[in-house]
Amino acid sequence: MNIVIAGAGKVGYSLARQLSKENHDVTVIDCKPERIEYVTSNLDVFAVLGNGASFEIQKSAGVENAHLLIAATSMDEVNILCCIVAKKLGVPHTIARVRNPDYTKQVLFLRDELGLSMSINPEQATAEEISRVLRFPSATKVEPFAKGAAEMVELRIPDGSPLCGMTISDIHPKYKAKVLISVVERNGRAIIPGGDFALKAGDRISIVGSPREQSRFSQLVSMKKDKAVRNVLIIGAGKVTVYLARQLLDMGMRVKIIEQDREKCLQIKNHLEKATVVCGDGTKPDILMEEGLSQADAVVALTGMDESNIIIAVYAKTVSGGVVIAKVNESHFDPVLEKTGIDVTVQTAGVTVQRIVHYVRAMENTKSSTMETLYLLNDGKVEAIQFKVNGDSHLGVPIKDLPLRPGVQISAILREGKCLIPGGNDQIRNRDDVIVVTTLHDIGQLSDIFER
Amino acid sequence: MNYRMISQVLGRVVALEGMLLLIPMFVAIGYGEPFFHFVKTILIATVLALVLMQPKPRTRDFFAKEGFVTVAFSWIIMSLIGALPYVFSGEIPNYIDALFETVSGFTTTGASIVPSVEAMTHGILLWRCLTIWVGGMGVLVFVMFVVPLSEEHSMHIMRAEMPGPTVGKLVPRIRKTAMILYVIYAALTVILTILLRLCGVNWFDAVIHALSTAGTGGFSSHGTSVAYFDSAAVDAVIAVFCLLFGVNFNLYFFLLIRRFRDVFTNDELRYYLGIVAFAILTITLNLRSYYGSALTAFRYAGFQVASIMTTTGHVTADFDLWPTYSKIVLFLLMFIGGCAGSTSGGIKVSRLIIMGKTIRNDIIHQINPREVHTVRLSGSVVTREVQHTTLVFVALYMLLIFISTLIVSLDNKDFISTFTPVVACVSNVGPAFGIAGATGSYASYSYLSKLVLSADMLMGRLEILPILMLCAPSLWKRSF
Repeated sequence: MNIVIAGAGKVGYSLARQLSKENHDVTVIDCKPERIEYVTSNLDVFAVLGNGASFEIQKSAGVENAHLLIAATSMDEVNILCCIVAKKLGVPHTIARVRNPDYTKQVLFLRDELGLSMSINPEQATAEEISRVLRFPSATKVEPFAKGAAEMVELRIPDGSPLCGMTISDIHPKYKAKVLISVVERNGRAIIPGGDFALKAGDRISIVGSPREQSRFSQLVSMKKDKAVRNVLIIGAGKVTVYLARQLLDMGMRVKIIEQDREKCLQIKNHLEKATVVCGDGTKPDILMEEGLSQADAVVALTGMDESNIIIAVYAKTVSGGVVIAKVNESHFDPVLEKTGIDVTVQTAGVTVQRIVHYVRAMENTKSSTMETLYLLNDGKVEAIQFKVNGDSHLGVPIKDLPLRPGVQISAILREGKCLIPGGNDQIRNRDDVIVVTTLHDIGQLSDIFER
Repeated sequence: MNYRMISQVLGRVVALEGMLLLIPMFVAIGYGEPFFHFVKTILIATVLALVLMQPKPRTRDFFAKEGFVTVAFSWIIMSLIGALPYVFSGEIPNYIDALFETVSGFTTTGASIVPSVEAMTHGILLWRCLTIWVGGMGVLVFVMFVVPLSEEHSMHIMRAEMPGPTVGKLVPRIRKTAMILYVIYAALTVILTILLRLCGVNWFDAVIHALSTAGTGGFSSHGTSVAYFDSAAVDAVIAVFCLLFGVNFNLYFFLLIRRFRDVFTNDELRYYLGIVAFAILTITLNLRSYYGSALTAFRYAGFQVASIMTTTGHVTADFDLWPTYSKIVLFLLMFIGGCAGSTSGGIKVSRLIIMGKTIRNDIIHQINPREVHTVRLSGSVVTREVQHTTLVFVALYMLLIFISTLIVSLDNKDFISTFTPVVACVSNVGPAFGIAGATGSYASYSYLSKLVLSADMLMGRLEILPILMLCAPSLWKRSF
C-alpha cells in the first residue's frame, strides 16, 4: 500500500520504520529539515519537507495515490486538518492522532464528515493497555474489536483449572458470564468448538466478550495462586491516570492515586469521585509505604518523569508482591529495563504505533467493502472478521436455525455500541456489526458463512 | 566499522561483475574469437565473491561512513578485476595500462592508451563499452536493483554514488527508484542503438557507440572515433543523445508521470541548455573561417560542444587545431560537465548555479550587511549547509587538479599536455589537448602518471569524498 505519514516525531518515525519493513511504500511529511534528514538517511522511505496539512505539500507527497494517510504531528488541529485535506484529495483511509479529550468526542461525532477511519488517543490507548494487563495477568494476548467494545482474550488453560474437563455448553449455566469460547488450539490444530467439546489442560483458548464480562469471567475461573487484581496504587495524576482510573473503577477495582500537585489532585477527584486521591510526593518511600504500597495488588508508576517511574517501580518490586507497571517515554533503554525486574513497561508512543500498525494490517487483509476488520489469530490459522450488516439475507432468523458452514462461528454481535454474545435465539439485524470467527480462508463477505 | 557487512556488499558487486562478463564472453564465442580470458576472469570473480561473502555479518549496522567506504572499495575492486581480461587476452599486456583503461571505462571517462582500437577483438571492445554503461548510472545502484541490500541504510550508498549536491528518491522504495532510473537509462540506450542502425551504422558499432554515449564515456570501436562514420546524421543523433544523457534522469521520470511543470521550471536544465547554446553559437562563429562555411562549422561545433560538455569525449574533428577561443571554451566546458543525477562528470551545472548565487549573495552582504538573502534552485531554498559543501567541493576539485598536475609534470611533457589531461580525467571527459588530445592517446605517460590519472578519474566519478575519506586516519580508528 501507499501510505503517507504526516509528522516524523517519535510516533511518525517508528510507524514509518515498521510499515516500510512490512513492505508498504511510505512517504513522510515533516516541517523540520533535520527530521527529514534523519528519516531519509535511516529509512527506505520518501520524505517531503513542509506542513502536512497543506494541500500543496500533500500533493507533492503523492497523497492522491495513497491508500492511507496517518496524521501524527504534535498538534490535534493540524492532524484533523491533514485528514480533511487528504479526504478531499481522495484518500480512502485516514487516521488521526487526537489527544485532547474535547476533540476525541467531537471526532467520534464528526467521524463521517471528517472522513476519519480511525482516531487514536495515545494516553487513552496506553491506559487501555495497562488495564488489560491488570485484568488478565495470565492472558497471552488480547485483541480489541470495534474500538474496544468487544475483545478477544487468548489464554492457556493451566493444570488444575476449573475449566478442565468442562464442555462448552456447561460453561454458561455454571458461570453466567456472557462470553464465548471461539477457538481452541490443541496440539497445534485450531478448532472451532461445538457445544459438546470438552476442554483439557494445555489448550490455548480464545474467548470473545465485552471487556467487563471478560474480566468477570477471568476472575471466576482463575485459580487461587494468580489472584485477581483488586487494589491498584497509581503514582502520578496525568492524562493516562484519568483514563486508567476510570476504566479500573468501572471494573470494580479499588484505586488510590498519589499526586504531588494539589491542584491536580482536586481536578482528578472532581473527575473520579470513587477514587482515593492522596496529595503527596510519590517518589518518597515512606509516603508510598504509608499509602499501602505493600498491600497493593498492582502498582502503576505514571509520573511525567521516566527516571521517577523506573525508580518507583524498582522500589515497589522489592516491597510488594503485586504486578508493577511503569510508563516510560523513551524506549532506547528497553534491554536495561528488562533486567530491573519491573513486570511491564508501557510506552505511549509504542502503544500508539502498535495500534495503528494493527489497524493497517487489518485493513490490508480486508477483502470487501462490508468487511470492517480482519484479524489473523493462532498464527494465521484462524480469522476473526468483523462485518457490517447491510441488507444481507438471513436477517431476523434465530442463530440456531441459520445454515452455518462448519468451521464458522458467529462470536459476537455489536448493536448500538454494545457487545452481545449471541445465544441460539438471538438474531442478526440490519446495521449490526457481526464478528465471525472461522478456520475457513475464503470468507469475503457475510453471505459466505452460510451453506449454499 | 562493520567490515563484515561491507565485505558482503563487495561480494555481491564482484558477483555482479562476473555475471556482466558473461555478455562479452558470449559475444566473443559468437564471433568465433578466443574467450578463455573471460572464463578465467569469471572464475576469479566467482571465487573472490564467495570468499568476500563468507564472513556472516554480526550486526547489520550500516552508517554513512560504511556507505562511503563500500562505494570506494567497490569501484576499486571492480576496476582491479575488470582489467584482467585485457591482460589475459594479451590485447593490453601491461596490467597498469589495463587498469587505466578499465578505470577510464567504469568512470565513463573514455581516456584510452590503446594505440590501435581496430586491432581489438569484438569481445574486448564490448567489455570496454559495457564498463562505461554500468559505471554511468552507478554500479551499486545496479546491485541495489538486482539484489536488495539491507533496505534501511542503502540510502548511504546511493548518496555516495550518485553525482550531484543533493540526492532525491523518485519513489519511496530505493530499489524501485534504482529500477526506474535503470529502465529509463536502458530505454534511451536501446532507442539510440536503433537510430544509429537506421543511420546506416552496423549493429555492432551501433551497440558500442550507444553504450559508450549512454554512459557519457566516449570509447569507440574506431581509432578516429565518430569521425569514422563521416555522416552528418550520425553526428546529429549522437550529439543530441549526449545532451539527453547529460540531463538529470529524474526529469525523464517527471515527464513520464506527466509532471511537466517540474521539468520546465527546472533551473539546472535551463542553465545547462543556455550554456550549450552559448558555446555552440560562439564556437560556430569562431570556426566560420576555419571550415569556410557556417553550416559545417555548426556541425562540428555542435557535436564537439555536446560531447565535451556532457564529458562524453567522442570526437568528429581534431579540435586541437581549432582557433584558441574555441579551444578555451571547450576546455572550460570540461570543468562544468552536465547536470546532477545524469551520467556525466564534471563539477555539474547545479553546483555552479549554487556557487554563483552564493557568491552574489556574499557580495551584496558586504554592501549591506543587514539584508537577508537565500539561495534558491528551481524555487526551493538551498540550505547553508548545502551551499557550504558545494563551495568545499569546488575548492577540492581545483586542489585535486593542481596536485595531480604537479605529479604528472614529472613526465616533463609540455604545459598543455600536462595540465589539460588532468582536467579531462578528473572531469571524466577523456580526450584533452596536446599529446592526449582528440587524435592522441595517454599511452606515452609514465606508470606513475597513469596511476595518478586513474585515481583522478575515480575521484571525479565518485565526487572526490568517498576516495579521499579512505585516506583519513580517523576513518580507520576505532570509535574510541
